[in-house]
Amino acid sequence: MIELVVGGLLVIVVMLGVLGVVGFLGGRGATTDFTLATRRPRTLFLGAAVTGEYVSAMTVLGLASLVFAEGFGTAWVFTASTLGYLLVAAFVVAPLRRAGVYSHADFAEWRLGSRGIRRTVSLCVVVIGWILLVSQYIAAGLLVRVFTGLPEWLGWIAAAVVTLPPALLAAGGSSSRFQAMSLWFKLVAVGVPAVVLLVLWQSHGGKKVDADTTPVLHADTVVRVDRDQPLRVAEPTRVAIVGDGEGGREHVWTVLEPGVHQIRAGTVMLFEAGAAVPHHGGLTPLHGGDWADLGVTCGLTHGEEWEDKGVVDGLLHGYSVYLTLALGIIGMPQFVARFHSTPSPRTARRLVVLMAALSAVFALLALVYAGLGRVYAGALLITGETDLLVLELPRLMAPGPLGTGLGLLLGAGVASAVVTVSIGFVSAMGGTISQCVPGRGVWAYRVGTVVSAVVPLALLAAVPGLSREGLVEVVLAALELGAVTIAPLLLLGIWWGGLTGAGAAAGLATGIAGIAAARAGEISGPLGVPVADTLMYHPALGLVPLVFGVMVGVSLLTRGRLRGDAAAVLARMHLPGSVTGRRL
Amino acid sequence: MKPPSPSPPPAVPPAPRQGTPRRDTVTAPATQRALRAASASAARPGDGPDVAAVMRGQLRSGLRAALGGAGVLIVLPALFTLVGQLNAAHFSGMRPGWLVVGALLPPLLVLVMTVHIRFLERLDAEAERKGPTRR
Repeated sequence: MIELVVGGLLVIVVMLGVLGVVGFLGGRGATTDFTLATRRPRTLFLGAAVTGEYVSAMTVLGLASLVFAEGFGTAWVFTASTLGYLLVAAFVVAPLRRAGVYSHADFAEWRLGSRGIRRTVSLCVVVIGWILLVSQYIAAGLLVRVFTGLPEWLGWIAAAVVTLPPALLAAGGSSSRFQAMSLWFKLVAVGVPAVVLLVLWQSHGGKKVDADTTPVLHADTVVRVDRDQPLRVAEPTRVAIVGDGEGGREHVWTVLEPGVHQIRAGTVMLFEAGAAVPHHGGLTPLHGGDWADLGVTCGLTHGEEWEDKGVVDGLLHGYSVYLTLALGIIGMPQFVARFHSTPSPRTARRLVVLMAALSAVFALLALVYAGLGRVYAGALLITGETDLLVLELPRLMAPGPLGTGLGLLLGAGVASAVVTVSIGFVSAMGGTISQCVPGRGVWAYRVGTVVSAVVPLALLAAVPGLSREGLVEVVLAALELGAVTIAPLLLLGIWWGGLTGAGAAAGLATGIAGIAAARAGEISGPLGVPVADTLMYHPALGLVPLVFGVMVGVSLLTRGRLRGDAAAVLARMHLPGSVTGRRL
Repeated sequence: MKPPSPSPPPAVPPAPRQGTPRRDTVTAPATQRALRAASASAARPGDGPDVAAVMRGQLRSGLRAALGGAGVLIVLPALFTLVGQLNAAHFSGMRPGWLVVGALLPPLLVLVMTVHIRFLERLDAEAERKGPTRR
């Protein structure tokens, strides 16, 4: 534990140092971006910069955790996110680049000529950004807890504190060099340990994932339960409850019978090596072979309890997630401004392709960690803290200096992901907020930046269970909002001349209200009506078509109020620059 | 080499055909040719039909790529969920399905993207060459 504390402090110091140096060098990058746009395109470099803002803690920790906990059948999400990039490349990025807008909100006002719609879009962007930032802060908290043993909230605050200065100075977030460097660093920090661990796995005999029917504990494992949780036990399991008795530490051995047991917070349990891993009650109990199945997982968690919902619900759940991902990527707040550092719409499109390719590499790495985790890190399933998988795996596979070293490298990669992505989010949100303020000065930007970074802290402090949500769930919640508001607005606004301000406003209102209703419904519990419940737990399925429908329908009804220069606006977005007489 | 486009382009209305007596401007044939060529390539940017044609081309190809991807994502998970043999297929300890999901589909989509944006770039180049009056 001691070497972890020292190592953790070391990581933090090194990270701050690197960030300071790069931030300082990149500080002059605020202008670099503009000069960059005049130079010959260096596509790989720019692509790395763009991707750097997308490789977040969710990519590094969350995806591996998702596949690890819910089985290989969830790996379809990688195809879904690639499809999202395809949509961006095919439909969104070049027209936005030609339109010369700097944010989603800018686009809304430019296209529809309405301040009200700009404000609504800004609201969506900011809320999405807050939720995404919450996920980054949660990851920072995990880092601090794993590496230093200090409470998680220190990590949240540290993330905000490290993020703010570069964002305030508009240094890091706008500097392509900074983001490109961070991407290569993340790739090394996540990729190298993956390769080393694969070699280790082979040297251990290369046990297959489905060799064990359920994951098995490889060593005596002590588990500390931080809060009340159900524990699902598949076979009679010997466990020692560790407590402080009169004569120091006491082990009281009992046998847990198959079934679900309620475990109190503060309980410390010792499981023996060779025991089948008991699962947190909210996790899908998967046997080795089931884990390796590609069928969409047919179980859903409701609160603390997992229940099998059958094939149809499983598939609907899958489709809902794919739709959310594919459209949600269009609604991510940070990319529009980033593409302004590209020399032309053509390059911007190519960058998205590069981005999809680089993301696919990270997806492969996530699969490696998930598979290895299934063989070695079953213990994480006991408390359900599967987001720790990537951080804990090296220690579990190679106790000693090698494991510690790899763990630290991974920790540094995650820290860098948290910081760089947060800077991207915060500066995008700061910009969006400041443009809604009449003066639009640099002070509005600074205040906006601080608000963007601080509100997620308040959210984490105010909502007790939030910090224990899985990274993937939090990010999906954000993407869901983007998929039903910003994505339809952009797709219709860019490709359909008939979209009116009233139509867009009605659609946005429908999307926001729908998501709010679904969230409220989730809190108050299932309704008992099958169709309504399905739509409530998977709002994207119903809301996406509804929002598109409302936007089109209301636009047709208000055709009279179509702006006169709609055709010219479309021409500007879709014709190459030399045809419309503008240099690009 | 493109002839210099008259600026602003909409200020070159087609000459009135009938009605009021016409006043002919006498210019050299070369100038007339140049003017005709310029108005053909750069007239009326932002007029409905031209943009619509360019957009149709982009949209059709984009929808084909996107719907193809969406179709794969709708059909394959359902197949693997509903058809047990496909799911359980083993070849010397390797599941072909793993390769499909992990290593094949995302790169395949990236390939589709590459082909598609190449096509868009060609469309752009064509629009640039012919000007907006292409059909």
